[in-house]
Amino acid sequence: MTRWRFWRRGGALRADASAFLDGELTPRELGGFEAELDRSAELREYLDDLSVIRAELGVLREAQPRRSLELSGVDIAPQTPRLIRAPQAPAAPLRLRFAALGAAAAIAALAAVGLWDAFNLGGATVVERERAVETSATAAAPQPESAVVVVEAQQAQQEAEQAAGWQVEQSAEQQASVAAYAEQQAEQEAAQAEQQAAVEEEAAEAEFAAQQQSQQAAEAEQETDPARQAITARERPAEDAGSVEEQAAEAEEQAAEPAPASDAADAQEADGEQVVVVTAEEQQQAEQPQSAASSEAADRSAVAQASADVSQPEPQEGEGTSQAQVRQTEAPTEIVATYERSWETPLQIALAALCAIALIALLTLRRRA
Amino acid sequence: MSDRAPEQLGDDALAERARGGELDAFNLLVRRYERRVFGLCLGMLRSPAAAEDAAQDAMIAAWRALDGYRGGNFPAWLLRIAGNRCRDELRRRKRRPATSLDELVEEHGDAWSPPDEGRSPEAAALDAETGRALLAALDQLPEEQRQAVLLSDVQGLAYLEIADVMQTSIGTVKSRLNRGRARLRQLLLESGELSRARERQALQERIDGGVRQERRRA
Repeated sequence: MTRWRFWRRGGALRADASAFLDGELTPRELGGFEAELDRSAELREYLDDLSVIRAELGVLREAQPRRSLELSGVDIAPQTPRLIRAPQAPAAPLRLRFAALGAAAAIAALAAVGLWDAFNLGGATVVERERAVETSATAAAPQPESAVVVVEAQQAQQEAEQAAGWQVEQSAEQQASVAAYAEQQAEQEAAQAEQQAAVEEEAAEAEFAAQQQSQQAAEAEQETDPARQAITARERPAEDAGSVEEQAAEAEEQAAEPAPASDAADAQEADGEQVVVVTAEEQQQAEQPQSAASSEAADRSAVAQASADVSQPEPQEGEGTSQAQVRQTEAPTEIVATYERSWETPLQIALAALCAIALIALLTLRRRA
Repeated sequence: MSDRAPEQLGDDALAERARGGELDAFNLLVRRYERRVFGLCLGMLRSPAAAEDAAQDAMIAAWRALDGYRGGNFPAWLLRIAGNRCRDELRRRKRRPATSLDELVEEHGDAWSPPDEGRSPEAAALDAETGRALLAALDQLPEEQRQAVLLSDVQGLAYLEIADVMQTSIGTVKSRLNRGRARLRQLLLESGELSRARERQALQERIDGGVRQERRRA
């Protein structure tokens, strides 16, 4: 029972035993402890052990230094070097560890920034992405006109100047010259297409006018002399009816000479009003084909322009190519040039890191010394 | 200025003189308390040479810090300085662990043995063995508990003085003493030193009892 009580309140009883040994218990605590001491043999044994230990520790009271600790004038002199004890090494491992950690972090940060700048990873990615967007837009858009080609050539040149150094500038100039050459080729082909369309339009108009004149002349001849026309038709039916080309030639001659029309009108003064009506109808009939011919000519010119434009981007090796293909083929080359040009920066970073390490090592050795 | 001899002056008067620059006055204080200071340093550091160095440093530091002494309990003030020096030395050892203290003591013969004044060689050897076993057990206690046990059981300071020296509360002193003694008892029980100490004390009591009886008869 007493053993159970001792271990249940062991902590407090041991503390009281220690204080009892030192005479530090209050009278109230002393009464309670002495009552517990009478009941508990373990507590008495514990207290006896503490007393034995205390007595044994008394041996240390007799400890005496082997030399006197009295001070001399050398000991109390200000800034006196310590001759008795060995000089303490001032190196602090914790500080050194912190210093090394900080230096390593600084070197790592420098290396990271330097590598970022050296290889231009983020910039290259952005440039690559921008060029990919431009390439897709250029390929999806209809074929560019000359103005667009010029603007894009300027933009390409500006981008090349901004993105790269002098080496890339050279490539940009070459690209610009290629674009200018392509532009000249496109303009020449467009001009040729326009000339061809104009010639075809003129030929169509002349042919239509000749047909109109021939028809007009034939109608006038039938109205003025129906008997003669009938005789002539009886005598030479094959010749007058079959030679359309001769009539066309005559119509052309009449068209070239305005006088025969007026002569015919003079010869038919009685039917002048009819002539006027016929002339208006002819004019209407002539205007419709002309407008049709002009629209056809416009379509042809558009087709020619389109064909010329279509013929522009056709790649011809050794000669100028379209701007879109220049971009598609030369953009990766610029990125590669960006990677190649930055070999100096890592060298500078490595030198800076070596200097930092050497400085840290120097400081460390100096502290240890 | 008092006409009494300096040896008869109190601690505060000698400290006042020493503050005025009298090194002899301060050396009187050193002679009074050097054994206590050395005993504390020996219990803390275990090595007599290290304890002497720490005690010497404590004396020099006390001389330089005399302006900060406000009077009262000079030995407690001096033991506080010595205890701080010992703890600094222990921290330095932890930062730079070279060889263990046991190896150092055995190799250089740097083992402490109590003075054998008036003792038989057997008793002196027994005391030396006991002292070394106690120092080895003390060395395994935490610094605060070790210092508290030494200040109480070796220096004989009261709890209030120990709290002043260690700059802590009385409750903390009581707790450190309780834990330190319990741990020391456990260590000495495990090493068998406590049972031998009991036998020695029983024998000593019997001897003392016989001597007292002979004196009564005489």
